[in-house]
Amino acid sequence: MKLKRDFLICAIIIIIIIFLDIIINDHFEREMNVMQNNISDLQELVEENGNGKEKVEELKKNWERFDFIAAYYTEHNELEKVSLKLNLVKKNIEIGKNDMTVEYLEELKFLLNHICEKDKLSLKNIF
Amino acid sequence: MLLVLIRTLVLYILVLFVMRGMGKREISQMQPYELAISIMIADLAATPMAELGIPIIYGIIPILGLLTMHILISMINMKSLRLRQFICGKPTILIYRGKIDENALKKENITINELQERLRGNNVANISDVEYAILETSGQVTVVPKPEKRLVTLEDLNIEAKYQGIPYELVIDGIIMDNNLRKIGKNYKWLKKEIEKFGYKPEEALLITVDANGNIFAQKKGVK
Repeated sequence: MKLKRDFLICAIIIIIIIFLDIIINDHFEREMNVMQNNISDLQELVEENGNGKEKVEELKKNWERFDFIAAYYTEHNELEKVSLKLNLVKKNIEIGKNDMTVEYLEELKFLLNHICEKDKLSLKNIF
Repeated sequence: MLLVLIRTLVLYILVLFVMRGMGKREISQMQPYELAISIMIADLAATPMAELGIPIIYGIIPILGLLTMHILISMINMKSLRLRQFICGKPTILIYRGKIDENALKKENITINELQERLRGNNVANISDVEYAILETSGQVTVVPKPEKRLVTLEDLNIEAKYQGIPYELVIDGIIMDNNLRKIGKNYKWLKKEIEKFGYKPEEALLITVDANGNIFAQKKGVK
């Protein structure tokens, strides 16, 4: 009887963790795809000397939505780095410094990729 | 500040729940795997408690993982003798039939002084009184004295012992223990009648117990 109960507790804990992991990873990937697309569009626009104000607002909005939930399961300093870069991108677009914007967008891409990759289930991350 | 307090409360409740789930053993009686898990749990809980930059889930998930491992290892221990011996080790006989086993002492890294210390901890001052000394898997030493040095029992004296049982607590801090009353086949009415002989009500008592022979111990609250 006790063994059965213990086994049930173990099974529930493992199922909950696996279930949470699947939900979190799915959420991560979906949101990251949206933001990576936003960044690529913005990068193209900036390189062609277009006005990226609307796009950066959209990216910021998407980021804020993601950041609110990601704070529950990602180290806060990683998220703060992205927020900081995003603010720099926004400011540089406002003052028209396109070369700097492209640089920051590249950094932003890297940071988002890093956040996405570091929690993935892989041998590299396990060891 | 309030955030740290809330995180501490959440993690404390979790650790309390996990430690409760792990059983009631004292630290000195823990098996090696239990001790390892307890130390790790304390460390895992401390980090997200004070570091606000780390999500609390980084503390919760590993602690739950350790609880799972603990339950699984305990289950294996119950089911398989071989794995039990592998995980917990085997008891080692340090003194066998009154002779110290030097090899066993070397194997367990125990010096003669330590052995004597452990024996004294078991109320054995003279090593020549010991028939067997066994180092248990929990690290405690069990001592079996020589027959002539053992304490005299009623059986040795051919005296028949009267059954004593255990005393039941009927009132603690003025609260009536209905379960215990039912176990001894009595009710509140009986309790009230018996306690009124002491000059107060059961609710006014600090402690009331009754043993298997029906002897009642009662003490009123606030009596100095």
